[in-house]
Amino acid sequence: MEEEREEYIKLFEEETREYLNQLESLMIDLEKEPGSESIISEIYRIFHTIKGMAASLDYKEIEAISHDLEEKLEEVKEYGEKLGRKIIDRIFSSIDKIENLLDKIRNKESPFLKITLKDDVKLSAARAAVIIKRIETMSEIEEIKPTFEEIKSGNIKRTFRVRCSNYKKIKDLVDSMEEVEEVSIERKEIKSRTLRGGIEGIRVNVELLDHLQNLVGELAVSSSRLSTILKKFGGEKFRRVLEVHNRTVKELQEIVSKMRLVSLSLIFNKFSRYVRDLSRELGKKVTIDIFGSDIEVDRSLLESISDPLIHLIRNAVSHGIESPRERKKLNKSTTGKVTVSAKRVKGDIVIEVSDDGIGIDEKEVLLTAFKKGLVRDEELESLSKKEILRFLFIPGFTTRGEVSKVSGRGVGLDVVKEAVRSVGGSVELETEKNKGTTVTIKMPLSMAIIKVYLVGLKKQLFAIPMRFVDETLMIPKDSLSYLMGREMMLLRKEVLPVYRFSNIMEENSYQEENHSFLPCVVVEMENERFALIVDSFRGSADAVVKPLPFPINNINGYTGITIIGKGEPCLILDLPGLKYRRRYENTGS
Amino acid sequence: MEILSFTLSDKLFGIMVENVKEIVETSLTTPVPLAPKYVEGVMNLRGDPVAIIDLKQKIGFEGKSSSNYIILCSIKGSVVGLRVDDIQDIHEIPEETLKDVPTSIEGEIESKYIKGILQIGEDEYIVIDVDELI
Repeated sequence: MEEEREEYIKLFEEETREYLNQLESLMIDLEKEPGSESIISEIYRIFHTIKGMAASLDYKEIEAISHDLEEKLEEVKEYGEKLGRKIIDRIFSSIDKIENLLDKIRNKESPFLKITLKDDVKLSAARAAVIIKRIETMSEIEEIKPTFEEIKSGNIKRTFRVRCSNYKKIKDLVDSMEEVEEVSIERKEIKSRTLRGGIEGIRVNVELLDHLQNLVGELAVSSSRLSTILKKFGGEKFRRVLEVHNRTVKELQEIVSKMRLVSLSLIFNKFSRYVRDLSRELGKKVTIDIFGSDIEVDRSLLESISDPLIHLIRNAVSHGIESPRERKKLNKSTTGKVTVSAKRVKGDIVIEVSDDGIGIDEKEVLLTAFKKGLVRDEELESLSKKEILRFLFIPGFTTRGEVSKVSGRGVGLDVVKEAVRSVGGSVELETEKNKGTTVTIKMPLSMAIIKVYLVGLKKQLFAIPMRFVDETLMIPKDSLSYLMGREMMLLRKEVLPVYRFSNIMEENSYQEENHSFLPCVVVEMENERFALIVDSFRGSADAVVKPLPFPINNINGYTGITIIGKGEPCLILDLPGLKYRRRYENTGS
Repeated sequence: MEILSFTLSDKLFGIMVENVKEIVETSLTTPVPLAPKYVEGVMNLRGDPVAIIDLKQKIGFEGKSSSNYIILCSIKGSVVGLRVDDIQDIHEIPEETLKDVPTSIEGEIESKYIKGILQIGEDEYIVIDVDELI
């Protein structure tokens, strides 16, 4: 019974949160379309459902709040009363209240422990006080009946009740005490159970899903190993069986990835409300347009980009968009605009956060970089705008105080970048003074299995995430040249900076000097294209990404490790990370 | 208390058995460029990558081990492999037999790495404190 109730409570909490999410986006819709009957009906319906669920679990406060709103909305619906600002504000505050109550339920739904002292115990008040003190050392007491004061003053017979965290352990503890006759767990009964229509989905523990995905990943890797063996030894029968096997594994992989997908709307829906509240607070007029919230991404990705996105939106509203008066002076509409858009590009998801605000003046950025010693005198003239804007991502480059004056925006971009990079993604920034700023986040749809391109350095293989690889080609050695002390290469009329993989990895190259063609990977990432010369090409592969083991888990330059071929570990390169390593080295010398 | 003994450059060492997960024999590790020098590389332990430390390098001895022996230890909750020259034996000893570090070897190895000195007959073993290694 007790566990069953816990299940219901969990279900209730999760479902209600989903409903609140829906409510928030409905409210925003309503602001755009005031008085829309269908929206009002939908809001009404949701409060009605919440009320029913809360009632069945005896959550009186939530029930009352929803009931109250339900009635108000009924008036609006039935009598055509206007849905005024007052009611709208009330709905918003009710959403917050219910959310708070849900938090409380999650933390505080511990049952009462009913403790009965033995018949012959003397000084029961003192005994009870001692027991309570003992409980206090091991858990947090939420409620005592009668109250502790009452108990101390002797107002107690043989029984008292304590509601505390960690109650299962506490029950055992109290059970073992000599003066205690009996301890039992007391819970409210469930009154009824809401039965819903046909079951379309079930809730699955995320850990189980992660585990399943790992196993399927392993299966995929052993499949590709079997294929390698087949190539070596042949066998028609083996080939046919393996073909079927591989197809099944592939399908399994797709299904598991799909199971982990959740819609971006889960976080995107919160943005409208956030911008609305923040802009009011700051006395600005800001609207937000959201595109692509129906796109689905891996659950773990969603969790890790939620905070960075909120951060970017906050930057846009508080530092990007100007006050209505300033905007008027600049001949702009007094209402600023923030746009969040998501789209799928190849195997990636691209999310853009842009505003039509003040923009970032790259000259100011350059000046700050110079003051911080990141730029040498002779570089002051030669750095491109892209190169200058990259400073904004250096940890600690922007601090709140300086930024509001200097560049208007860019606070904490390093933190955003770190978070995005941890899921194998990259961040780019474009800006124009008085026109606005766009930050673009690019990352893989799924974190656990990614496509990689394998390159060799000496005898070792390294994996480059395919997303960074634009093309691979053998280049004639004589297409390389030095320009202003930098190695450059001409590719179809485009001049690309050249980096030697061996230099980056601080190893000696295997490439013999007399080879006239060099294997070269054209890399495109973070506002930059460059050519990476490697020792050899080893083809593409599906990589199951595993974290780097302790104590090398914090090395800059790798995002993870995968197991390839006969089972040897292969490092997955973090090209943006390596680039920054290089950047620091350059400025250091 | 049980001590697993091993050698590094013909010197005798030991670590507490309670820190040891297993001993594996392999020379196959994948180097990790850009990692600290004492990191020999990573190995694949039944599907999971494990970092291998060249213990000689770590404690400041000359050269690198060329043996096949890796002691997999639990360090700060993670599995880490220690490459050693040779594995010897397991000794069961009372805890108090562990002596403080004599001044004679001080300076040779950083003292925080040393848990104590174990004397068995003629032989003196330097017992390593694996939790201090990293």
